[in-house]
Amino acid sequence: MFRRALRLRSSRVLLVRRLGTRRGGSTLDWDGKVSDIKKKIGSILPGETWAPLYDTRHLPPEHSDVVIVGGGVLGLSVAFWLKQLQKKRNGIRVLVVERDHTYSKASTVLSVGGIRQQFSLPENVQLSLFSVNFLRNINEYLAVVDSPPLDLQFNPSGYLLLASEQGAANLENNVKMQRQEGAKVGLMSPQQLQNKFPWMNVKGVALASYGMEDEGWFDPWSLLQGLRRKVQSMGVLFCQGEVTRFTTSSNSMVTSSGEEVVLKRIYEVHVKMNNSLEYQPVECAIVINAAGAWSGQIAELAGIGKGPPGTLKGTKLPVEPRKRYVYVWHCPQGPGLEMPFIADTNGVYFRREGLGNNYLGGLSPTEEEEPDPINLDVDHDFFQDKVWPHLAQRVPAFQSLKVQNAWAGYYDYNTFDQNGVVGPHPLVVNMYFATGFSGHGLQHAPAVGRAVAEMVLEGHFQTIDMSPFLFSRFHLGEKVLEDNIF
Amino acid sequence: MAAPRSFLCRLALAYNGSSRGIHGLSGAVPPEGNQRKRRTLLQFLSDHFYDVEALRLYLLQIKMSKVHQENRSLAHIREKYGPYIAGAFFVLKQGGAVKFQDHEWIRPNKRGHFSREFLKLQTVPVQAVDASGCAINYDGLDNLLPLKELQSLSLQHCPHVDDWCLSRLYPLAGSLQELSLSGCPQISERGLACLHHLQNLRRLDISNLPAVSYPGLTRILVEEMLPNCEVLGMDEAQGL
Repeated sequence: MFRRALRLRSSRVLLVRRLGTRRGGSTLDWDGKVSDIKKKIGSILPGETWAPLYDTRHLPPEHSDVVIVGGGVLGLSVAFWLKQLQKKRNGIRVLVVERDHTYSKASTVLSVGGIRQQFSLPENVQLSLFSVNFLRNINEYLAVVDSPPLDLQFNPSGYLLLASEQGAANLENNVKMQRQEGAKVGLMSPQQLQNKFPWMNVKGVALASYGMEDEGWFDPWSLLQGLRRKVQSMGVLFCQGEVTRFTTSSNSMVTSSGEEVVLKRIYEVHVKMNNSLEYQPVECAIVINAAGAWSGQIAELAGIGKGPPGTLKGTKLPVEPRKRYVYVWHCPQGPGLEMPFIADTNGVYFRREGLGNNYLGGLSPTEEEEPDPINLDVDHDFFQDKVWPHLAQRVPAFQSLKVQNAWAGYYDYNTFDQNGVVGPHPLVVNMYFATGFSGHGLQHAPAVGRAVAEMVLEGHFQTIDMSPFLFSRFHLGEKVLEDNIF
Repeated sequence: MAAPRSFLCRLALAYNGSSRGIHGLSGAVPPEGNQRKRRTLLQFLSDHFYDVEALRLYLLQIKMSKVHQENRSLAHIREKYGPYIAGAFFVLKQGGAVKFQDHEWIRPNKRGHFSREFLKLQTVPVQAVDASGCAINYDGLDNLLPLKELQSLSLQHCPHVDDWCLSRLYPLAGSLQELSLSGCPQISERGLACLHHLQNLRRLDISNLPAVSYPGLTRILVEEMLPNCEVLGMDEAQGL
């Protein structure tokens, strides 16, 4: 009805114009002005954004309960569980701020996509078991009305970890612990290995552990898209922008031993739009740092680590980006369908990719050989010198192969103990971390998301006890080391 | 509240997009054009009203929980009667058929009723299970895996059997000789890759698997993986 009135009004205005042109040339752009007025009236109608001065549809909202910095698999998992565990529908407003919606440098999509339960820490095994349960029932968790079911392209081929003489005792203890937690892992002797996988050269292998079930690899991009779709249907707001500033308020308190502690609270997040100076201050109650490889920078913005070294105030978040290469090669005589994800004694890992005799793999360089993480360029000599000799030694068929493709991605590497940081910061009380997983973040994402959501909503961990992963361990010096990191 | 709930269920079955009972939950969706044409009133409403969308999600979750209910673990029966009876009871309840060693096939009749005579066969191992068309899923396999002397398993046209279920079959490796997966819409070549544990397999039927992308190539790779097994289906003419 309004629109018909507008049309009538505009036609009458044109008639008036023709009659009154003698009034002077101030209205040269009359048609433009009329379409402006029509747009403004259109924006008052219910359902449209009311922005009298300029278009603000690309900006985030001015208030949000939770701001999640980083829209990768961990950030979206936290958003999903926050919405899933909230007691009242639309009871919590969540905003996910992601700098790059094409995810060109995100660790999630550049990951090799493996999931395993073969860790040396019981908490890590529990996280993997929960996550694999989530992935198995993904079409129940991430069901969206009228959307096709999600296909993660999971290959349940299992992981095979090889150990030399030195590592054999350790491997056996780890397998015992994993079986106690409920993982289906078995030990194999070199003879059994040779019978099962005749294409392998078992020289130098003293013991191997093989995951029979719930281990393998999947497509991280489909998990990301599935989470995104579900989370959008649950009402989480997305914004493409970069966090440039946290505005904090401080409160000074005295501990029971008479020491003065300054507790900070973030009450505003400045989200800057890409390719522009425009920013929007978002008032928030809780900030979740799920920025992956760049979590260290986000933590610095909040003032974490700015203090005398050795104190809690001066403890930085020890997460930094580390570059890792993945190479894809073709070998026509290579192993067949039964090939699991193999992790060799020296850290070289490789797996089958597809049906066409393609394989992919890589190696984590030693501390001295760490490449510069300033860009994602691939070093092909690294494959020639460091990876290929080990491949050819373990699988003789790999002596003749042809590299088809290679890419590089970042690990959000925790330089302290290569395990994740989860939970609130002791001094900046409303910043929660969900980062630092150093190469096994994707496989723990559903469980970590749930843990952080429980921490935010309930105040303590319920399903899995993640207290060994709190930030305070960096100040106290308690390392939670994980052996099986590739 | 029985009447309103049954009305809601009938509403769900009638209006809920392209689903047809339990088979609608499987991954083999009809092509996009088909879905576009059948745009129903309920779908239109759920695009415009949050409440209708929430209602449809709730109905979808009721459907899924029904499948879970059918696949619950029969631990109490297993403790009382033993694993063979529990497995047989589970299969018969789902609508499949069971064959004990040296006995005839036991099938439920058209109304789903079956005689309780097999409850006396506590120590007789189950030799063959025919679970064609049953709503068996990953959790339901809990009841079948303790059948250590199972020689033949038929999972034809089971809509909820997917790659995860295949990765769970390795405990039967000692005895399983015949496996049929024909017509399962959710099985792909990735699940077939984990059948290499079943070294005693002599007959494998993998015909008519719509989710396998390269049938001819997959058949060759499976034959290489299981050298002593006869692989049926996936003729080489179909898309190499």
